[in-house]
Amino acid sequence: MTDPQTPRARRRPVHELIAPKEPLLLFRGQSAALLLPAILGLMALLATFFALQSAQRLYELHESLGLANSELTVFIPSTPGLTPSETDPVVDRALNTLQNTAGLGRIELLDRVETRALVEQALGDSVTAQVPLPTIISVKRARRTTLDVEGLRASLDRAAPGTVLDDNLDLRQHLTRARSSELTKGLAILAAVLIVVSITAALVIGQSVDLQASVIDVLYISGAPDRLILSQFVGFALRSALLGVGSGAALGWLMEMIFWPRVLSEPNTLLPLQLPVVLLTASLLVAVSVVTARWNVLRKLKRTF
Amino acid sequence: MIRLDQVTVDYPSRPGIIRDASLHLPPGAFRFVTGPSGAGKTTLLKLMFLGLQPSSGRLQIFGRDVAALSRDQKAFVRSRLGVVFQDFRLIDHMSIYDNVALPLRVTGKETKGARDYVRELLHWVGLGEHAEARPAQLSGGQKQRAAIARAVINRPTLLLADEPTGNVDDGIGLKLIRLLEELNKLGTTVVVATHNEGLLDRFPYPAIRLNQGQVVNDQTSGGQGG
Repeated sequence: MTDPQTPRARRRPVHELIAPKEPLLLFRGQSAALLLPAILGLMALLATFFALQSAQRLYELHESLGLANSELTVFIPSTPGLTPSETDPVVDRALNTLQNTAGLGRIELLDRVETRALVEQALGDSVTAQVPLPTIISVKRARRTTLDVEGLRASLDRAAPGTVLDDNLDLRQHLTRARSSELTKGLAILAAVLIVVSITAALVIGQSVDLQASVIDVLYISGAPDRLILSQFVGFALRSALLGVGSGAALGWLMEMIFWPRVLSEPNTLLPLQLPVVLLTASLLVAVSVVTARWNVLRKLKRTF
Repeated sequence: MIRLDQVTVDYPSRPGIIRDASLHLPPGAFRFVTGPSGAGKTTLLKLMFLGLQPSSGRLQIFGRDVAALSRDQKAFVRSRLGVVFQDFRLIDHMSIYDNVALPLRVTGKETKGARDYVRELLHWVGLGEHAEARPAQLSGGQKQRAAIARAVINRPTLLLADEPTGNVDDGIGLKLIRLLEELNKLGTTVVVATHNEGLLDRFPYPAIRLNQGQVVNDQTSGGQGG
C-alpha cells in the first residue's frame, strides 16, 4: 500500500501509540451511570436493614423456641395431711417415673422458696397464704433424643394421679406462628426490593442500550459477537451494582447498629451472624441486577440487529 | 460470494421495500447499486451485511444460507466484511487509530504486529498524522477515509459502501472511489450504493439498478470490475 498523500512531520509515530485504550462503550455522563448505583444503593440499604431486623427477630424467636422445646414442667398437687418435713410418696413416684423415662436430661425438684416465688409470680402474693403449694419439678429434655410426651403424661398420671405435665405447647405454638409471620414478612420485603432492583436494572440498562445504539451497530458491523457487547453492559452493571449495593449494605448495617445498639452489648444476639446476612442480601441484589441487566441487553440486541 | 433468490424485505411501516430481488455477485467483482432515493439501495446493502433478515426468499453469503446461521456465525461472517457508510459512523470517543483498529479489537486479532498494519493503513489512506485525533477534529473526506481504513483493516473479502461519496465534495469522492478500485484490484469484492449517476459515467463498472424495491437491471457479468 502506498501513501496517497505526502507525509508531513508527525507529532508522534503511530507505532508508538499505546495510548490507554478507550472502552468500547462509554457510560460516563449517562443518567444510567448515576441512577443505577444510586437506586441500587438505596434498595440495598433498605434490604440490609430489614434483613438484619428480621434475622435478629428470627434468631430470638428460634432461641426461645429452642428453650421452650427443651424444658418441661411437672406440677404435683400437695398431698393433704403431710407435714413439711415428711416425704411425699406421690412426688417420689413421679420422680421415679421421670428418671426411668428415656429422652430426659436434668431433673430438678424446686425447693419451697423457688416454688413460692414461681407461684406468686403467676398468681399473686396473696394466693400462697390460702392455697397449699404444689411440688414443681423442672425437667430438661436430653439433646438429640425423641421424647414421647403423651406417653410420659400417661405414666405420670398412673404413678402420681393429678400431676400436670406442661410441655409449653401454647408458648411453642405462639412462637412458631410468630416465626412464620416474621419469616414471611422478611421474605416479602426482600422480594419487593428484588423486584424493584430488577426493574430498575432492566430499565436503566435498557435505556443505555438505546443511547449507545449507533456504537453497537458499528461493533456488530465490525464483527463483534453478542458476548463482547454483552460483556460491556454486564461489566457496567456489575461495577454499578458492586458500588451501589456495597455502599447501601454498609449504610444499612450502620443504621441497624444505630437503631438496635443492644446487638453490640448483649451476648445472646445475632452479631456473629450479621456478616453472612449482609453478604447474602448484598450478593442477592448484585446477582439479580446483573442477571436482569444481561437478560434485557440480550433481548434488545436480538431485536435491533 | 452473494446470491439472492427472490428475496423480499418488508418493514412493518413499509412492506415490499425489497421485492423478489434475485442477483448473484461473483468474487472479485466491482458493482454499483443505483436507483432513485427510496429504491431500496441501503436495504439491499443491509441485507448483505446481515443487518436484516429477508422476509421471504433465500440469501446466501460465502456459500452459506443466512437463515441457517447462528448469531455467532453471523458475527464471524461480518468479520469477513467491510462496511462504509455515508455518515462514516466513527466512534466519537475513540481516536482515529482506535477507530481503525476496532475490527481487530472486537475480533481478537489485535496483536503487536497488527499495530504496524494499522499504521501502514493509516498512511495509505493519508491519515498517518491524524492517528491520535478524534473524529470531530477531521474533515468529512478524512472521516470517510478513516471509515474506509476501518472497513478494510480485517482484509475483508467483500466491501460494502453505502453512498460513500454522499457527504464529501466531488474531488474527494473521486479519490475515495479510486481507493475502492485499488482495493478491488487487490482482490476485494466491492459493492458501492450510490445515486450519483456521474460516478457511474466516470467508472464504467456494472450496476445493479433498483426501482421501488425491484432489481430492474442486474449486469451480472462476472470477473474483476465486471
